[in-house]
Amino acid sequence: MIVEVKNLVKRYDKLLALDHLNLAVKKGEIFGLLGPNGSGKTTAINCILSLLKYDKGSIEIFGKPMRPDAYDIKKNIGIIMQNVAVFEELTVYENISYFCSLYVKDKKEVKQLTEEAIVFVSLQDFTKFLPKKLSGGLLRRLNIACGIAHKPGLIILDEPTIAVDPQSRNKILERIKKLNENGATVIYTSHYMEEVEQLCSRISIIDKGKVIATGTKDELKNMISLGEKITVEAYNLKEEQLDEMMRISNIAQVDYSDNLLEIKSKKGKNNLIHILDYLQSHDINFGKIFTEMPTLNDVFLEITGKELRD
Amino acid sequence: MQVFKLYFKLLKSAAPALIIYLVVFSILIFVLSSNQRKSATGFEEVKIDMALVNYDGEHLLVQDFLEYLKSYCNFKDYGEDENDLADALFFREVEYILTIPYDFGEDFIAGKDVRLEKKAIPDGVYNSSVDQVINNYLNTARIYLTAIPNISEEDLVSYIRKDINTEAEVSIDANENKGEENGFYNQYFNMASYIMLSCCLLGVGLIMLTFHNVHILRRNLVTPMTHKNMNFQLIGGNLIFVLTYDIFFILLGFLMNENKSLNGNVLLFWLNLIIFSVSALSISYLVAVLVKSRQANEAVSIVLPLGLSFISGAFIPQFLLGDSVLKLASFTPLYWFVKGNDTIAGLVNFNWDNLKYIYFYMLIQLGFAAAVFSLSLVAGKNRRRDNY
Ligand SMILES: Nc1ncnc2c1ncn2[C@@H]1O[C@H](COP(=O)(O)OP(=O)(O)OP(=O)(O)O)[C@@H](O)[C@H]1O
Ligand SMILES: [Mg+2]
Repeated sequence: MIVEVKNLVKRYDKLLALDHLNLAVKKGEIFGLLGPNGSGKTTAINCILSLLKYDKGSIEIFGKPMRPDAYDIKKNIGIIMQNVAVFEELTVYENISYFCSLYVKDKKEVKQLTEEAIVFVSLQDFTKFLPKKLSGGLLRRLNIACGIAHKPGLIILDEPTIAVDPQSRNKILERIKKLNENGATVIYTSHYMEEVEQLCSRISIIDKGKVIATGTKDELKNMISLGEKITVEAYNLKEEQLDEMMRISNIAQVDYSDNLLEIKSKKGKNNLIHILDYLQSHDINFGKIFTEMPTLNDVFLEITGKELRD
Repeated sequence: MQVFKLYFKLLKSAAPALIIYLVVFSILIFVLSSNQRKSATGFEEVKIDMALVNYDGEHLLVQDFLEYLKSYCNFKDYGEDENDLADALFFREVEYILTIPYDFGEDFIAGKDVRLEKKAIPDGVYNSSVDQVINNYLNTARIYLTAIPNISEEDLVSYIRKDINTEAEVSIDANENKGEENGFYNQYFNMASYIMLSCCLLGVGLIMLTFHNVHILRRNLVTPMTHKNMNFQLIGGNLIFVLTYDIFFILLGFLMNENKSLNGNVLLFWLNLIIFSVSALSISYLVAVLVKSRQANEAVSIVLPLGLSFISGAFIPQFLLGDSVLKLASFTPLYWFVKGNDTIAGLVNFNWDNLKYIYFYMLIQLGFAAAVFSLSLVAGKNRRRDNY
């Protein structure tokens, strides 16, 4: 295990921010921590990094207990905080070089690593810019470059794409994948399920400071009873026909409005075929059809009874 | 050394303001020093106008002392009312107010620690010469009193006069420039304190605010650099910062002053300045912990030094300020710095009795700095705990 968190409890006065949280991150994976706003992701990361005192539990990184003075562990961690932490008075280049130099002694090496990091996040044209002159997406990329320049074995990113346009976001996700391919273990927190699904090999879903499910995205989706969602463009459906469809095996829910038939099916085989059979045998005209697999939002919804994002 | 290097890179953004302060100050001092050059004439030709308040009229020693002083001063009578006297000084009708306390002569002969009270205009060219003339008389008297116990008053005054009349002229000649030079330094360093405090608040405040920012602080704490090491480098940067200012002021003063001699007074001025810069540093620390934003810090760096300098007598001499103002000011190190400078300027005899006051004022400044540093440590801890 690269990171192992056991029974972590953290209180802010009366508020229980982390409630016996358990996490295990394996070498070489991109581990996702998915949870809505205020679920305790940042608190968990800060505890893992010994930036916060916690009330109970144990944290091990690289097999050694993590402590505020565990400098040999810190040396091999790259951290990208949720809040951009760069110096306003320093240029892009100077910021990356400063943070890199806290990890790497040799000046030549720092210079080389800084330049590599700049290329890695594609900030070549902005090296002399001050942070306040950068757009939101570019600033996030600078924040990432400051965290990864020293080529750490473990990279922790806390919502690195917050307030970033879709294009920059994809670029950032792509870069994170690349870091992982180059050998780094990655912990990635987000409240965007699409990102986590796209990026992470294993995911823990967290709510109110508790892990409610862990696994690959397929494992997670298999935990719930919901199967695919089927949407059909169909015309002139009658009430009683909708009721009849509800009786087809494995159908959980049927909605119809604006000529769109939405069906949620339970897990099972040939759900789509059963529906198409029904439509054909009742001479119902239909147009486009699409099916969607359940999302992590559906997983969250089924376990907690609420949406991941409100 | 990364943080140490970073310190001076961060300062760049405050550099324009810091430089403007220094340039304006240098110009001001240049004007001041050319005034000084114009008014420099020989002491013997001039008698200064002095208001005399004598509560000890009868005593023979006092009578003789005043007789002797007449060759250097024109006595003027403005009564005993403090306001009248202060007005006379303010409007330059006199340059010097000398008050002789009740039973001064008797107490002096009895060996008690009695002092003449003096007030003088701050840029009076001959004040120190008068101080010296006075000290000369009294020190000689003290010597005879110790050497010949039970000496009669008549003998005493005649001995003193014999002594002084042969030596005084010479010693005054030798020190002709002294008052002038101290007057310049006195005013120069008093005013420098304002610049020192402003620049400290601005520069040190900027750095401390940056590093106290919770995100920057956390970001630095997750690196392999120890917290101790980081603080150590920051403190180093701050010390270099104020020391640079100390050296700048010392050099500028030296260049601008006509007189280039490095006597005890000058060294004491320097020491006082260096000590003051430590307390200025402590104030900057505290302000940086208390304010939330850079804008607030900049506002404080303008208002606070102005206010402190006015009430502490960095611009207006302390004796022209009201008692209540001075009482308030005495809670700030600036007051003790200015008081120290004023005392150093009048210092002629470097014996422990005179020096101890100056060292005492310095000690108060250091005590203040220690208290404020501890206060900002405590405040900083509380603030950090709120954020964590
Ligand atoms: N310093 C603090 N003092 C008191 N409560 C806090 C503090 N920091 C966080 N909290 C509370 O702890 C809970 C968890 O917050 P945390 O920032 O860890 O959530 P998060 O999952 O990172 O949310 P987000 O997606 O918005 O970043 C929230 O209810 C938050 O209000
Ligand atoms: Mg967060």
